[in-house]
Amino acid sequence: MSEHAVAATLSLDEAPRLEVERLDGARVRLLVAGVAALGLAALGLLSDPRQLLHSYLTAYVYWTTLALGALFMVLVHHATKAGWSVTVRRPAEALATSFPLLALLFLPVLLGMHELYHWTHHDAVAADPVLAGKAGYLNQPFFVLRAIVYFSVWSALGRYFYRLSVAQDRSADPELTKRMEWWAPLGILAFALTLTFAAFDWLMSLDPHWYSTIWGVYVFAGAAVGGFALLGLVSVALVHSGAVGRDLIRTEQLHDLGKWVLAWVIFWAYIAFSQFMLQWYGNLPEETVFYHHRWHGGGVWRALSVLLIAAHFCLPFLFLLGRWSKRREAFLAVACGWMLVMHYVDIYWIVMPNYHGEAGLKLGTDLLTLAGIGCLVAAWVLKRLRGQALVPVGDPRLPEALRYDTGV
Amino acid sequence: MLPEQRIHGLAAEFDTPGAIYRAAQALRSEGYQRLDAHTPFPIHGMEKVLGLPPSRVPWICLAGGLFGCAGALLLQWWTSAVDYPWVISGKPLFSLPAFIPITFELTVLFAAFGAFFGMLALNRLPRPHHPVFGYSRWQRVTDDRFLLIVEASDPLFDLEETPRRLEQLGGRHIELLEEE
Repeated sequence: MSEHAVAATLSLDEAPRLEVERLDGARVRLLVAGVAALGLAALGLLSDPRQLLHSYLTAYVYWTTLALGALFMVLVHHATKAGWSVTVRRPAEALATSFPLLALLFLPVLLGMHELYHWTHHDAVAADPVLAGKAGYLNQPFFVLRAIVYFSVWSALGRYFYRLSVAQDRSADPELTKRMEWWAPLGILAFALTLTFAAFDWLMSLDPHWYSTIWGVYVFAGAAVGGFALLGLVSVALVHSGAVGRDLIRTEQLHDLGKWVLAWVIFWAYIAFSQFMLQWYGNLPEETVFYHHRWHGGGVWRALSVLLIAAHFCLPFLFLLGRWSKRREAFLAVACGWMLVMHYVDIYWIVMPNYHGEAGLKLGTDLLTLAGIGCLVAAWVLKRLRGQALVPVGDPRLPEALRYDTGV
Repeated sequence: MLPEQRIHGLAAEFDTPGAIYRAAQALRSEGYQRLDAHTPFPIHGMEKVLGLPPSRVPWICLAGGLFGCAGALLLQWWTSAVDYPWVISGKPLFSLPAFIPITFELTVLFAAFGAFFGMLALNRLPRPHHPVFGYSRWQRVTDDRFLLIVEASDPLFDLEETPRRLEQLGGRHIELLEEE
C-alpha cells in the first residue's frame, strides 16, 4: 500500500555496513582461533587419528552443508524472482562464496581417506565381491576428480551470484537481476546433482555396503534446515545489534524466514521417515544395517536417534507452527539456534557410528574441529562483507521487500 | 425510506485500492467499528484497517489435524491389533512406523477439511443471498471498483451523517442496503 511507502530506493552511501575497524579485528581473531583450534585438534593424530578424522569430517560436512544451504537460498531467490528476501540475501551470498576455502579444508579428508573409507583398502575390495562391483565408482582417483567437480561448480555459482549482486549495489542495473534469474534454474540443477553425489561420496560411502537412493535428498534437507536457520539467526543478530535497521529487515522478513525453517523441518522429517520406512519395511539386511547400527548398536546411538525425532522434528515443528513464535525476534533466534545444534547432531549421527561403535564419545576433537572450521568460514564471510552493503541496495525488487505484508 | 430494522448498512464505491484504504482508515480513526469491504482482489493490510480480529480458521484447522491424527491411529490400532489381529511380514500387530503414512495422510486431510469447512462455516457459507447483492453497481466490484460498507449495527451509524462522511472521503454511488 502506498500508505506504507518507504523511500523507494536506498543510495549506496546510506546502506548499512559492518564497521570496518571492528570487522578487521574480529577477522584476525577468528583466523587465529580457527587455526589454533585445528592445530590443537591435530594433536589427536598422536593418540587416535581415526577419531580425529571422523570428528573432522563431521565438522567439515556440517559447515559445508550450511554453505550449501545458503547457496540454495540465493539460487531459489533468483529462480522464483522473489521480492521479500532481497534484504536478507546478502549474508547468504557471502557465505555461499566460501567454497574455495572449503575446498582447501577438504584436503585433510583426502589425506585421511584411507582411515575414513573402507573401500580405499585394495585387499578389502579384492576379497569382497560387493565392493569389487562398486570399484568402478568408488576408487580414489575418481573420488578426487568428483570432489574437484563439486567444488568447481559450487565455487563458480557462489562467486557469480555474489559478484553480480555486489556490482548491482553500485550500478543498480536491473539487467544484472535478469542475468542472475536466467542462470539460477540451471544453477539449481547443477547444485542438485553435485550435492547428491557429494552426499554419496563423502557420507554414504563411509559404509560402502549400504545404500539409499534418497540419500542425497536427505542430506539436502538437512543442509536446507541448517542454511535457513543460520540465515534466520544472522538476520535477527543484524537487526538486534542495529547493524541493519528494522525498516530493512522487517518483522515480515523474519516471519518468512521462520516459515522457511518450519517448512524445511517438515521436509527433513518427511524425507528421513521415507528413507527409514522403506528400508525398515523391506527388511533386507544390506539396507537395514544403517538403522541397525543406530538402534541396536549400543552406545549413545539409540538415544541420538530418538533425539533426532523429538528435537529435530517434533519440538521445532510445534514451536514454529504458530505465528507468535516466528514474529518475535528472541523466539525465532532460539528456534534457529536450536536447529543449528540439531543439524550438527544429525551429521554426527550419520558419520560417527561408522567409527565409534560402542565406544564412548570423545567430544574434545569433535568440538575443536567444529569451532576451528567454523572460525575460518566466519573469517572468510567477514572478508566478503568488508566494505560491502549488508543489503543489496541496487536490487530492483528492494521496494517490494520494504513494503510487502506476509499475511498470516 | 426503509424502516430502520430493515437497513443492513450503507455502501459507497471507491475507484482505487488507495482510496478505499484511506477511507476505511479515516472511519476507523473516527470510531466506526463495523466496516466491511468488497474488492476485486485482496488489498494488503485491509483487514487491519477494517479492524477485523485474527481469523479463527487456524484453530479449526489444528483441531481437524489432531482429530485426523488420533482417528487414524485409533482406526489402525483397532482394525490391525484388536478386531482382526494378523501378523504381516513379521511386524508387531501395532506397528507405529507402518502406521505413519496413513496417520500423516489423514492428519493432512482433516486439517484441510478443518481449514476449508471452517472457513465456510465462519463466513456462514453457502448462503444464497446477501444484502450487498442489492447494490445497484455490485457487478463492478468483481471488476474494477472497491465497495466499502458501514453496517447499520455500528454505534456511530447515522442516516444523515454517515453518507455525508463517506462522500467527503471520496465515496460515490452511496446507497442504503436492505436487509434480506
